[in-house]
Amino acid sequence: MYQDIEEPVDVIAVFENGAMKPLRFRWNGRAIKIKRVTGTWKADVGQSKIRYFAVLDQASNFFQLAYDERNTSWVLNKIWVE
Amino acid sequence: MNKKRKFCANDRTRKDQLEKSGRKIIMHLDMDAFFASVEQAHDPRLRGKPVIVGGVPGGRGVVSTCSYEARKYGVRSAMPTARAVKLCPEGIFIHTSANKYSHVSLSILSILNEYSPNVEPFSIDEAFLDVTETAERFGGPKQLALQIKNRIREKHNLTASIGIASVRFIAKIASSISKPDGLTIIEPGREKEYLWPMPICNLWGVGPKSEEAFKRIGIKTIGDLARFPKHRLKRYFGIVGETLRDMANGIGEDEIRPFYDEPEVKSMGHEHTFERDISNPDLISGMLLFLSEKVSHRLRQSNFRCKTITIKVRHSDFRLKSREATLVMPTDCAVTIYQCARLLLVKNRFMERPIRLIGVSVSKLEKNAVESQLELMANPHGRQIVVDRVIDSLKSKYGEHMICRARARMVFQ
Repeated sequence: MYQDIEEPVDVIAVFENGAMKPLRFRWNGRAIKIKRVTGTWKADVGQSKIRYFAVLDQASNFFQLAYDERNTSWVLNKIWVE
Repeated sequence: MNKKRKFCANDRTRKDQLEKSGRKIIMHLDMDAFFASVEQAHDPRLRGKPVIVGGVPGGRGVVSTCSYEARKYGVRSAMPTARAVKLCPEGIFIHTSANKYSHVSLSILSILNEYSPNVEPFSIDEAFLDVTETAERFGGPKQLALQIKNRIREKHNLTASIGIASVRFIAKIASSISKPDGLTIIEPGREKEYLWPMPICNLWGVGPKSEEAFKRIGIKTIGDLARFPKHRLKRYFGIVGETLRDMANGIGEDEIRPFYDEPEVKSMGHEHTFERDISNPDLISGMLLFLSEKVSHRLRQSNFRCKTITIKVRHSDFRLKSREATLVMPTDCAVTIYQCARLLLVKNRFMERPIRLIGVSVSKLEKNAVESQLELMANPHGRQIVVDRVIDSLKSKYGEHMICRARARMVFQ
């Protein structure tokens, strides 16, 4: 099942082919390398946007990250837990 | 120009016949278990598992979509979540994420637009395309359909089922014949072969009630309807009976309405299902104001005013009731809509029993003229209209949920 986390995280991202792509993030004192971005979408919040990323780590664990353009910050929204 | 009457002309059966028949080539694309498939594409561990998108266990929502694995347990769209939990306790229940699915849907539409200028989005997971003029360029309708399916699979890891025919409703039926990941082409002249053995409920526009009515007069299949005397159908079902009989004979619309040619909006509305049945008049009124604000905001965004206001109420017995009132002057003011809706609620004694669902919608829409200062001053709700404008500007800058009237906010506390 998915577990809501909603915690701020530090993310290393690159801009590639005109799109933002997260590479690694730090959560719970652990650096997590992103193996694959499986989906991206966005939500309009007034004149600003939140960009969402569905990502998998090296062990294919699922994470959902969100980049909030209003305050240029990243949040870990949810993870999959067995 | 009505081309549909030429339908029964020839009976050639080659795959490229559609192109050469002089009739239109209409394609219907239907994404397979769309919301659930998007979730499975984003999280591959969900593949092969019963994924149910919509309400979550313990809540009162309904299933929006479920994966094919969940369908094996009997779970279906629009089924209350509580029932889905009983049928499929090991199901993975996921909240609907409208932004996520809209984003994928728009991306798929942009792929479709590369194959035809005439693309009609029919819902978030369905679209019609007229490929009469473009199919040749991609190697014919079949090759074009395969290309579209591959592009969608490559970009989103999703499958789509496609139906091709010379009229819309047959293309739609064709897309449902071999789901998931299907491709069915029904050539002109072979419609009856496909349609007639099908149960009558497969015909577009025949729901459970009309299916029952048809069965009462001995119509069980589409073929039965096609052969039924026209004058008797008209007597039983009116003009609808005649139209359905035409459809059963393969006659239907072949016009595609691209998104930029959409008919104008006729109504707009919002509704809310409470987590538990509500009797508290303050909470009910607060929700009514919240919904009225949402509707009025949409009216102003689209530059409309409305004359008719309708409320919809579902009590715990699941019976749905609606009442409407028409104003003398059109409005886009949240308070005017709320006051009218509340009056309908009180006058019809809807608050005397616990309420499960409540909705506000508006219709008889008119394009808004620019309101002068004098009109604003003459309007009894002039001050509220100014408040609405301030709320609009704050919402457009900071987001939909940034501000609302205090009475409306209390429903979420």
